[in-house]
Amino acid sequence: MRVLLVDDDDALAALLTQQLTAQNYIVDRVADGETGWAYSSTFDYDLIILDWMLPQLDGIQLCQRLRSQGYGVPILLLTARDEQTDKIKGLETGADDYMIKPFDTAELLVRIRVLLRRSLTEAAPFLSWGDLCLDPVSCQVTYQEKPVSLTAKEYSLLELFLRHSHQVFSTNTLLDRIWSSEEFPSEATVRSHIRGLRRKLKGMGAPPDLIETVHGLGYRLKSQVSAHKAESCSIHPTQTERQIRYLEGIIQTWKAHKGESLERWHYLSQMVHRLKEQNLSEQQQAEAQRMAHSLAGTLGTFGLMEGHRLARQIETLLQARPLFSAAQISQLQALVTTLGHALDDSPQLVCPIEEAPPRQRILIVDVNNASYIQQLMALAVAEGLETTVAASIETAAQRLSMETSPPAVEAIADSPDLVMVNLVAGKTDAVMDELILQRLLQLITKITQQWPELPVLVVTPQADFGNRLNLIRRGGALVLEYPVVPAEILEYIVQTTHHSYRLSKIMMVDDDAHYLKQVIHLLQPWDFQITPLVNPQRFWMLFNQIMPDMVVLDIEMPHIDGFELCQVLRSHPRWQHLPIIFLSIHADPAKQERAFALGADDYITKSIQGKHLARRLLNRLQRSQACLRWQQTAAVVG
Amino acid sequence: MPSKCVLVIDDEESIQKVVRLSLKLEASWQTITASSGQEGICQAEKHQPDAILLDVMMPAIDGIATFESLHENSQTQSIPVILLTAKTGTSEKRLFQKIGVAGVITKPFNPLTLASQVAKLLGWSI
Repeated sequence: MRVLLVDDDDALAALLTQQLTAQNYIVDRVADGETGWAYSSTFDYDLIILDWMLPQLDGIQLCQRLRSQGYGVPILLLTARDEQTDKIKGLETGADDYMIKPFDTAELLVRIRVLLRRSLTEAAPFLSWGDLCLDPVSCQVTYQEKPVSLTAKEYSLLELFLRHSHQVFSTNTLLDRIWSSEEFPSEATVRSHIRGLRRKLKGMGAPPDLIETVHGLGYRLKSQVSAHKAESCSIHPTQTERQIRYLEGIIQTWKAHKGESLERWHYLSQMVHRLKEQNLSEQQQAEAQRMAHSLAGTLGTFGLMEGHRLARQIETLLQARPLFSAAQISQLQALVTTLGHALDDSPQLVCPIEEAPPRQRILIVDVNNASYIQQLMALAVAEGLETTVAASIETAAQRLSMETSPPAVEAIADSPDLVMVNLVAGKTDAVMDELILQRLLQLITKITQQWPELPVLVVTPQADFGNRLNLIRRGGALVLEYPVVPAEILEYIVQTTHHSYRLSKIMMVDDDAHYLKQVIHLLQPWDFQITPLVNPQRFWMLFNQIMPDMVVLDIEMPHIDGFELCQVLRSHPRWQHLPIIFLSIHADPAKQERAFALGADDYITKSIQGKHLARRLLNRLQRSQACLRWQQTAAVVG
Repeated sequence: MPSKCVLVIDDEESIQKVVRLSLKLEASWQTITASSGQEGICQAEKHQPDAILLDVMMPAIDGIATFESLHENSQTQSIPVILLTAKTGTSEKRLFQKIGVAGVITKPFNPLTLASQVAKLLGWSI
């Protein structure tokens, strides 16, 4: 059970936390009402213990706010005020119980249990599952009436499973429910505790899979069987039941048919060997393409998404008939090898996340078969980028749907995220044929005219000012001077396609906790590490703890507004280049002008949708990190 | 509402099984299966299903040729056909629209909503 303790008395809070933890409660403690509000509106608690006298927002105000926002969690109010009118006021504002300081901790623990029990639907004080019993009052666990000794975390896990005996809990849900917000466990920690719990239960004679793994979903108590239950579910299965039954079905089917996919993979491996020996007929190539297509369909259907992606890439590469460059052959080999490993994955439910950022797709135009491209391709595959090489200008134009004007909607959706054009001759000491060079330059112009948003990276041996200017005028977004190591090119590619910004730390300050929750949810597919803050007065302390890569500020907030926070940051020499974004409901130009005058990098209105917001944030992170990289390079060179 | 019957034509038995499982769990629909275009046409004539889910890339008679045969056959031409295919290019999508299939569902599909997708394309309710 998870408890939020809001009390500014450090000594008392420490004592209470200790007592509650000893009773297997998971405790988050905060010292002021505003932070209490931020925590209670961000995390799910089973109980809140509130002190009356709190800084910023007192216990009564917090209690009122929680109730007015529809939070039904039990609240126990602690206070030194013992007037009858105070008690009445406390209970009237929505508290469920009231204790006067100094209090007896044993009595407090009993009151907490009573409150929790009242709030639970189960009336029975004992939780049981077959021969397994858990008594929440004495915190005793028994199997066949023999006591089972568990750690606090194991106890909490078991209690959660018993209270929701038909529910499947994902690892992430268990992390949220069992570990406090100050702990930073990994998924491996959860698995380790589950293993420990299973071992102890097994030691007492329980079945080893009493807590069973539901592949792709998480963990639950193993059904005590039940033809009866299965029968009732077959009429109206719940979503979870359906997921479980579907998964069980596809796991069985995959076991029975995996061999067919392995055979296809084997065919693809042989195809790579033949290609290397230049002994692959057009017919064999077409057959390999068909194999890759079928594999992509099959693996995707079974939720083996990594395998599906790799097979699709192989299929696309095999479309380039009949000639293969050395770079394409090494890419095929890398893809087929990785696909072999991906076939060992377990089937999963395919639940596409809407608006999730797709894997980045790169098109490399290399008509010269330059040797460094092979190495770059191998690195790109390892990085997980979908990379295709166009060995001729015609193939590149076809790949970019440049024959049709305007391009079809589907072509826009299928377009790559970056095009790299190689202007280096096949043999690095040779000079590129002038005619080919001119055609490649024309291609760059055409690409950027047709796809103005598509970044074009050019690698050239001639990057003096004149050539650089020419390339930029044609639309080149980034010009790298050859010689340059492939790893460095890849780093620029990754940077330009936003691939490396997924774990960036972003601090978001907004007094509207609901909006913060909403934004965090919207941005979830982009994997940012977002720290929400509703109380700007705690800004500096939290900022220095987190050291974020970016700060997102609301404007109107109590006590300190967003403009002031921006000024505070910009007044510090260290934070001159930190990206600061305003996210406000106000669209009026005066506010925007003020924000930019104070040093903001962007100003976004709150009506923005998830993916557009993500793009704006990614753009800023990209600029900032490119700048930082350049400074570091300059420092080394200088 | 009476249960629907859907014919699944796919050369891969594993995919037939997964589609069957999805349709059964989500909508309790009956399914019949066929592993080739030829077998599919025979099954369609014999069972008169409410709809056909047809894989595009199959050996011998592919999905498009199968669709054309079904369309020319007076016994099967009124049965709506939905193509079930891996992600396709622009030209193929145009072709699918042109030949008059009832819809296209892209693989990998969401198994928990496959029946809903079919129902939506055909105006059925689940």
